[in-house]
Amino acid sequence: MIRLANVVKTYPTHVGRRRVLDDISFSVERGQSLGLMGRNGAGKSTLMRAISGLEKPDAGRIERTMTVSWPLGFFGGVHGALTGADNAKFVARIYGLEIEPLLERVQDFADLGVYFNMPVNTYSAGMRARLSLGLSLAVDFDCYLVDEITGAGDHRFVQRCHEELMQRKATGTLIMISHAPETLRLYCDTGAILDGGKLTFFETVDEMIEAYYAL
Amino acid sequence: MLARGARMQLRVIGALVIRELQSRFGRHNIGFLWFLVEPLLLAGGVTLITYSSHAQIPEGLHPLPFHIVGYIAYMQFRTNVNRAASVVLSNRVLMYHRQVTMSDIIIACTLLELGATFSGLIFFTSLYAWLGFSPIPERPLLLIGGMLLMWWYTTGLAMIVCALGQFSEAVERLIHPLTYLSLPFSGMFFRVEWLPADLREFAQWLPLPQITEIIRQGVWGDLHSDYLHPFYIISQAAVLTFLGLLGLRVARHRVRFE
Repeated sequence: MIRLANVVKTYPTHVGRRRVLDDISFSVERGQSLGLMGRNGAGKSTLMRAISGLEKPDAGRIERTMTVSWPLGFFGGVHGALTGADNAKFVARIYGLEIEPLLERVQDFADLGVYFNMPVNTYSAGMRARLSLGLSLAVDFDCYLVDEITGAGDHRFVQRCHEELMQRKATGTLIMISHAPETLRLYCDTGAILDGGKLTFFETVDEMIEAYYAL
Repeated sequence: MLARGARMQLRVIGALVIRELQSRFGRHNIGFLWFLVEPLLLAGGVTLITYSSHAQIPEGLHPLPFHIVGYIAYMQFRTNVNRAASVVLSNRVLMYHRQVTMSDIIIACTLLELGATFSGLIFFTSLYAWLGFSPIPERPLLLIGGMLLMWWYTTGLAMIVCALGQFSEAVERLIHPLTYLSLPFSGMFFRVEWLPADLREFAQWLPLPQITEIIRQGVWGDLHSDYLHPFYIISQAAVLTFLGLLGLRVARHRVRFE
């Protein structure tokens, strides 16, 4: 389970501190899959980073009783100056996993070919997404935090991604940010919209999407 | 529980050291050779100035090994403190993995610097011993102890600088001139013994000349100082480390992620 209690996060702006997360409390049970929507800059990614433990809240508590991935987006988790393979070795080392099997799993999923041995700086957005997702799937977390990267990549990757995420949805926990209604309908059971620092929950993804368009 | 945490931290620091090695020295270039060229050039220049001004280094010490040992000791200080503010910035993406902390990143960096400066020291002391300029290090344990003490001291300092750097960009701008200005106070050019009495009273409380003296005594076993205060330096390192860890805890909230 992941539980957030009265989480507040503010950022300084030129008109004073803005409350990006304003007293947010909720929990995600094991096996649940939650979709998150919100306007650009609403703080969805900040919320993801808070859930993962990366961003420390100004106030409130965050508890995790299962392993949670880092926020899987276009940024973070992999170092641009290192090659895909060196990033994979780094991940293997810090999670205490065997290097060779992990390299194989990542290469099998991400399918980066010769780019696997090139610096990540040279990757396209889609290739970065493939590497990040490949790494996190190889580590095998209980809960995956997916920040809009499912839309990236070519049809082959989208297909592989779909298979893996459907399997995670069946066996694990998923929290996903997306602007694409069809993606959220596919992977999520319930939804929430972040607006003005507050989170509003919806029983079904369809209700969330309807409310999102009314925003 | 504690043992598991320590194992995890060792794993993380080890992985970070390898990662730093990869981007600093690259896999194809001669990065590591540059590392030896820099002290050689500087110590060589200082030696030339000493020769041309007909100044004598006391106690019959050869100026070349004398200055280079002092410079390598100073290098550890300079690099660790200078890089402290930027190193977290350039490795921040790795903190997406929850087990990677700011102190791990700094420790990995300073450990790598310890390895690099130590290799440089071995290289130059061997070279000068072979040329007959200085003895083969006569008290190797003191040499190692001095280098480790410099590592500990500058790691604590680096943590403080890094923490302050999260509060103001001025820290990064000011730290470079400050470390260069500290070169004359580093002990590269002198031993506290050689200073006039009134300066000695002050200089014996400077940490860098103290640590440099320990390293030099590791090379020249018959050097003796009445102005060495090991306990004072160790307490300073311990206090700096404590303040550094505390500062990083506070500064962690201010690190921005994209």
